[in-house]
Amino acid sequence: MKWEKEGRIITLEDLSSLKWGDKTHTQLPVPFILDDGNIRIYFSAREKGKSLPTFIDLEKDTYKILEINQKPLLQLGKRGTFDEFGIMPSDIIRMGDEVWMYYVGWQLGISFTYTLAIGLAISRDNGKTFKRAYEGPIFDRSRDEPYMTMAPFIVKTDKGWNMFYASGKGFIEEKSQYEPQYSIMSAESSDGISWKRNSQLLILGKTEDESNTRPTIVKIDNKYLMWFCYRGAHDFRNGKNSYQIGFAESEDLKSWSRKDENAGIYKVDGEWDGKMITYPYVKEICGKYYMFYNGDGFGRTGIGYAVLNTWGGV
Amino acid sequence: MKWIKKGLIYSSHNEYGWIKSHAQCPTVLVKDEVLRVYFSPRPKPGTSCIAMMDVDIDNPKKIIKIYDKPVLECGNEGEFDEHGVMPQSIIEQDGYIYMIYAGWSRRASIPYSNWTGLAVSSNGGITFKKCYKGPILDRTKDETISGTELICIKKDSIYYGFYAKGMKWSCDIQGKYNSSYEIVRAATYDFTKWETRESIPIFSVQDKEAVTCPAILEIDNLYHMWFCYRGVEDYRDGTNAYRIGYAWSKDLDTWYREDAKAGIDISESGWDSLMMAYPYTVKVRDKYYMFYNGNGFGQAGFGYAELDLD
Repeated sequence: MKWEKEGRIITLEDLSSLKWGDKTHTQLPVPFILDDGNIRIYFSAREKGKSLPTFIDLEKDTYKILEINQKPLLQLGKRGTFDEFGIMPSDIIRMGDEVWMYYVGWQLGISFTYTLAIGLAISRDNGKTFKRAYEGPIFDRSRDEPYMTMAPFIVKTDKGWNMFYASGKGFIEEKSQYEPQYSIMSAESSDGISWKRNSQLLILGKTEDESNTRPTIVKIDNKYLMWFCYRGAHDFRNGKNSYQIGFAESEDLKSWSRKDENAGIYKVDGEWDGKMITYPYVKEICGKYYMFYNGDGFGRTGIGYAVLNTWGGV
Repeated sequence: MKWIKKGLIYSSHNEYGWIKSHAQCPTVLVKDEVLRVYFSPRPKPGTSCIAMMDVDIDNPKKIIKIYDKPVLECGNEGEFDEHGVMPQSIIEQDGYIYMIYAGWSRRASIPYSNWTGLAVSSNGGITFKKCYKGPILDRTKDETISGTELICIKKDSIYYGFYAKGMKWSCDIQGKYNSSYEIVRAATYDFTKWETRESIPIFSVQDKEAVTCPAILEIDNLYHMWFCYRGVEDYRDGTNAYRIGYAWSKDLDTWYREDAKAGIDISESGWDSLMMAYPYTVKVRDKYYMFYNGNGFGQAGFGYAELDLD
């Protein structure tokens, strides 16, 4: 399996016409197909250092920019609430006439760098504007997962809803800060709002201090294929243990075999994604599979995409 | 209902070097021979742990022993109880003693975030181990501020939980953020699980009022609840400091608040003259006791009162 890199579709320069924000990040891309076939890319921009969701619309086939959304899609949460210090869309799905945004909310403590939890916002105008569904998170830490939840990705089957996400494993001291560690888990639901946890690690780390997150899943030939990103605990901000793409497959969404050698996408020295490839989102568009992702600097270098070469089977 | 005050039992005097200040939230386990009182001292400002003492069951003012080690300590960085733990209530089941406790975590924009955890003892309440690293009663989509002071009443194999739900943070004239709470009810078959709770306020609180720490006694087919309430400004031993309130119910469902019938109020002078807070009621043989804190949120220690049954 191999991904053909097609380069960047959104760069920081594309944010220059924005009337708000720092114009420093285009983090965590989430593609969404509009009724006319054009592609909306939701992502997190920043304002005063805090993430806020927005989107850019691209013309189908040409990927030419059609529209740059001019207002954050949500405002930060109230004082003390889970999304007071940042909001990042992580999955966006159609739900009847509505569009649901599963997002990650940021909260800051005093002893650690941050904690995250998953919230829900709902759009009734086809994904153009959103309203927070609840002030609190729909999927938070728990008695058995005591730290944080992040990076939800929804897979619906005829048996119900599945959420793949990363759960905090603890904190490791790095340069006198406590940096979170996390790993991918799953939960099940019948309504997309209340979830039953499995609290099981799905992707075992290659090293003890590996963190893996941002699962993205498609079903091809009766097999579920998952890409995700993983990093080390130290020197991971563009350093030697920065994010790269991992891969796993499953027949039942429950047991996964990790096969990073089949990830099919790698860093290329000197390119915009030479130090880091991260936050993948794989989507089928008109029979082809696309991966949207960030490169160096956690989204400081724009959003690129790649096309899956399925020649010879996957 | 009338309570007869029996006076101060204990205030901290730097015992063992770590019971530096405060003796907050007295929580009582009734043993055959003694009353075992868990309470929360502060080893240093801004952190709390749980300490323990045994007092005479016939004369609770007589302290038999203060244990030299904390019973429960703070969690690790990033855990819900990283900056403090305080006892809330006790459940005895199948030979185990469960302690429901509050965990504190300080935050960047608010003074703290506090939720509820569970610990268990298999040696009669001498040592405890946390059951989980995470809280059993935590933030939900509808409860975003805090959830503490959980007590459970078991009836027909259902646990009815009463706890204080955080309502909002408000900023006072000094720029300090203060939270307000109300007492809500939830039900579960398994007291380690409260995720799907439907929290229903048992009575509505007034604007700028915080109500917390429910304590319930069942006497003559009636449920009596004492709790403490304060204002959101000038409540640190000031005019709106904690007082003991009262409500009653026939069925644990409908509650009638009648603070005038609390039967206990601040003293004219002394350790509980400015504040009365964190009541914990318990039946000891044929008597009913209320343990509570006085001034300064436990800085002046805790004492007890006995219910006048005449």
